[in-house]
Amino acid sequence: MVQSDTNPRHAQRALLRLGETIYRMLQEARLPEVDIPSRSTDNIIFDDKLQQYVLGTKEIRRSALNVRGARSLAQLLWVAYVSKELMHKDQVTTLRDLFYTSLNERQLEIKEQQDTDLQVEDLEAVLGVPRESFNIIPHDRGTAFGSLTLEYNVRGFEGKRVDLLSHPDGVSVGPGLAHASFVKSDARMVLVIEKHAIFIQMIREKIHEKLGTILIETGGQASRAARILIRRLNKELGLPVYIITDADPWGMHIALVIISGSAKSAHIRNLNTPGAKWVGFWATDIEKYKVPSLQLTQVDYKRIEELKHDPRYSDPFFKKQIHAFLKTGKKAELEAFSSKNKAIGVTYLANVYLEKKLKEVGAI
Amino acid sequence: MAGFDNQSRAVYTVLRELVENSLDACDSNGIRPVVYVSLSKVGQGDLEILVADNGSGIPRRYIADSFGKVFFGSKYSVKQNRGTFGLGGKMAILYGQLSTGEPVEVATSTGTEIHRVRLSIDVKLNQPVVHERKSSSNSSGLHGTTVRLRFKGDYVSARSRIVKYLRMTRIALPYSIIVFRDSEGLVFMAPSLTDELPKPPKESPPHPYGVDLVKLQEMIGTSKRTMPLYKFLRKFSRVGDVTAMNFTQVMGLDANKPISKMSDEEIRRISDGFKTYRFLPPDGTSLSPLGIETIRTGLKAEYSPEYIAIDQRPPSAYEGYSFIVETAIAYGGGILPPNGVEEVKLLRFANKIPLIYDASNDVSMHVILEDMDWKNYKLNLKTDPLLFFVHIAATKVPFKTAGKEYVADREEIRREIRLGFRECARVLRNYLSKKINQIYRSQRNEKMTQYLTLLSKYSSGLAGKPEIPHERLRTLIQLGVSWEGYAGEEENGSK
Repeated sequence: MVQSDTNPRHAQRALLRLGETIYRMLQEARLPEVDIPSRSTDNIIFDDKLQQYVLGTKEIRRSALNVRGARSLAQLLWVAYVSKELMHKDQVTTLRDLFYTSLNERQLEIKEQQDTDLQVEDLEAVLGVPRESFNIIPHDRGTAFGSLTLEYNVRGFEGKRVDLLSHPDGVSVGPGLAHASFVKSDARMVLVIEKHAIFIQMIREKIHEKLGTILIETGGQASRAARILIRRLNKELGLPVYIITDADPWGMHIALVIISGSAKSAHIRNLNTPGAKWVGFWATDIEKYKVPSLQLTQVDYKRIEELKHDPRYSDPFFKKQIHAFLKTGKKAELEAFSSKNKAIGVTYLANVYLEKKLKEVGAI
Repeated sequence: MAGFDNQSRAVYTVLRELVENSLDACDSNGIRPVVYVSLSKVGQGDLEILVADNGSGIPRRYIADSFGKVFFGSKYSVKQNRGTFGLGGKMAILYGQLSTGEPVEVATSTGTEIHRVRLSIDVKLNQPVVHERKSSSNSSGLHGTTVRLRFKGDYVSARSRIVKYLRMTRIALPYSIIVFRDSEGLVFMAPSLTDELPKPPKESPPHPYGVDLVKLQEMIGTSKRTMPLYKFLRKFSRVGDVTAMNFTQVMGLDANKPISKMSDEEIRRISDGFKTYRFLPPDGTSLSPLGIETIRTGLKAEYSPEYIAIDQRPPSAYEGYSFIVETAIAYGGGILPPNGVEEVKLLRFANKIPLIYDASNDVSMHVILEDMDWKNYKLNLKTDPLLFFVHIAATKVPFKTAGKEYVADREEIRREIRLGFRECARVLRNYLSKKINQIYRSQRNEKMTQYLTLLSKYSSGLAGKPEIPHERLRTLIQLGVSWEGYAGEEENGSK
């Protein structure tokens, strides 16, 4: 099983092994094939000990028996080959870069970024290491602000420090920040926010001071780096984690992935924060707080149907939220609270709703 | 007059009737036809046609009647012929006479003397009127007939149909040589495609299947009054002593009763028995179908298609006339897909005569458009490059009109055409799916080579080893291709 921490030597050995296996099959005139752990939602199991979803035993055999399989296998080996070269030259590439680089290899017939993204995920599952360890890094997404000083471990930046409070717009959360050592913090909790605009508003309203919180903005679905940072703040500093998102199936799922992990990276460990709490904006809060709402769309309903069958939603609380969405047919954004603001610059969301919710869960 | 209703149609009909007469004069005597046709403009917008052949020629004493008297009457012995003995040719002569007032000029020789005759037809008396008659010696010994006729007609608008007629004639008679020089001075030449001549058809009596009550009564009326029933029955095709005796027994009839003594009820019983009794099928000896090789040669020469599927049906009968249907479907090559406007490409022949007009009313067009489920054969009439061919060889072709342009929709014939096209379509489908399969396989081979070469490149790069020789990959490619059919997609869920 994959650990979230990077271990270059482990990755190098795994790449060599994969290359040798395929090479030997070709040499012995056997049809090349690779077994890849399945990452569909029917192959994820909740591991009580790890408090996260992990992959089951189902594997998918990718073989050169047919044209489609052969092409897919060639694409997988190409990504592996790129990774080997990157590690050899001490270079990194992003998923987007990898896609454009792949377009040069016309014969691979790669058409969209999803093709290479999926091969990278498959390679993680085959090698048992996260992509950062074979030098394919994600795009930075997410910003952090608050009482926290860190020291970088990234090669070339060893010993350099960053104080999150000294950056008015927050600091971008990438693998460098996610794996940096914690030096100092006065924070009492972590508040994870789905939206950048709300995050900036809270900095201006000094919520971090009022509540003693580190603010992390995920910009939609949290990146792996953001999830690693959140987990480490929880595990290493013992800070409780609270999440606020829009009241729609997408927002709810952002919170759930932070808590229980995503299906797509169930092959990687130590990305989730089992103790994190989703404090709002709940489906049940829409009517309770009388906030302007929108109708659920077809796409929303389709997503809810999918979530209904997802094992991660077996928890009674989440079941209740799904039920509330279906019953009311309504959704609402965090910004909707602005309709209840008493004065300009003093938001109902940050000053009233958030405090109420945090009190409810016993955070303050 | 049928076939002469307008000036364009008239040119076509005159030319066709005279050419068919010439071809008959050769064919029925086992001579390989060489026919020369020329059209020229003469005064007052009239046309003059000259048709010359190398047929057997006409003996002196028959010349006047052959061209100047319209025969009526019927015979019970039937033999496949192009037309009802030159009737169409005489209609052409009559049309020329009526439209221009000019007599017809004939020159003919059976190999001894050459006879030249100018004559016209006395319509009221149905008699030839000879204006001039000359004879001269024939030192060369050549035989044949030349007919020169003036008539009113519009050649320019008939040209495309005439050319189509000549091209189709070449398909049906690939052993013939036809040269046509038109009034504009253009020459159409159709050299022969083969040296092989078909066997001339024999005469044969009617088959009991489909001889109806009226026809039966007619036959009884013209037979000897004292003829016993079983002897009368032997006049039918495929009926001998045994069949005749057995038939009367099964029908509960007296085999020795003279036919003139038969009651209406008994005659009806015979007629009904003709439908239900299992006679030997018509043998088709009186027919001369084109034959699969002739059809192939003709279609190849005219269209050079990619593939031709041909079927010859066994002999069948309607109303006592035996017939054989031959069908073909040609695909691709020189045949272009429909351009969206034109209709189905269909070449129709009846007793080797090309049928040009009124295709949409023809029984074979009905089969193509109504009876066939082309989807079952993975064919599409609107998009595929298809050419249909049908030939009906019959002791009597059931033409719907006097103009002999399209074949009536008779169930017996329709059925045979349907079965013929089904067989052709089946064979064509097999050819096409084999071809698609081959293309598919070679594309797959190419792709497999491509991907396995990449796998070799990357895996050797990862393992730090030299690339795998291509020969070794080739065995794998073959393996992959041959397994493809059995390999289900094992990938699911991950995407």
